Amino acid sequence: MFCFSSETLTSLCLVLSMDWNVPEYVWLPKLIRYAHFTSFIMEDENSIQLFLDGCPTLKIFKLVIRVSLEDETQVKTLCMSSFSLKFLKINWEEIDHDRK
Amino acid sequence: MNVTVKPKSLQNLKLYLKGGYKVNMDTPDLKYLFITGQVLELNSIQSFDSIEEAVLYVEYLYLFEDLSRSQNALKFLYELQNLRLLNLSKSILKAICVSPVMLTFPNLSKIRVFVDCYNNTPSSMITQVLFHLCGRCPNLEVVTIDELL
Repeated sequence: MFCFSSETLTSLCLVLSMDWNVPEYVWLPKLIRYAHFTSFIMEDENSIQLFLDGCPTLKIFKLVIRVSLEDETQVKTLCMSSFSLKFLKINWEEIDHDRK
Repeated sequence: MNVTVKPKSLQNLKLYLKGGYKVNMDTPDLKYLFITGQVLELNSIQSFDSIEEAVLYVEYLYLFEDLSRSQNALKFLYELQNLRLLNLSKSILKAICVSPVMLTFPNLSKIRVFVDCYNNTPSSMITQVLFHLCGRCPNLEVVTIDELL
């Protein structure tokens, strides 16, 4: 199992159009400035919450989630909670199958 | 083709390479290094003790599946361990990831990695990248993984 753990990281920006998901274990206690994910595929309903649980001081979270209108199996529910978040921005973008 | 850069007092160097070059550097006072293009080898005669920022958008003209072939990239990176800011191509990052040697960057605070999403970059590599960066950079504050357009 990959652990994504850092005691010093304050900012994380992942700008990708490939399919990827949050590592199984995340612990980033100093990630306070921002986390920005583009474009994220939700393979697991709990993936966002797992990430937030591992970032107890995160203030700014921007998320662009890729969705496919053709995929009936994709996750349809997004739930999240956090005691530290001050700014949250979520966009959904449709997967362009012609690009793949 | 070989490129040899020798001025001992040089502080800022930019190289734009087209084709496969063997680059030899003997510039111990260098503070900023920018290299883009295709290379066969990157060699440093001595450590870059004063280096602060490096942008290495180089693609090696061979694959790193053979571990022995990644040694040249690692040896060059080893001389850059005083870096604070580092921008890397996927090619060099792959050399770091496959290496059994734990190459660390004790001063590195900010890193940006470019990956080519349309050239068979597996999604698992992103997880590996995060794992390796955090394990080898004890003062890392900012990570950006960006797509090569």
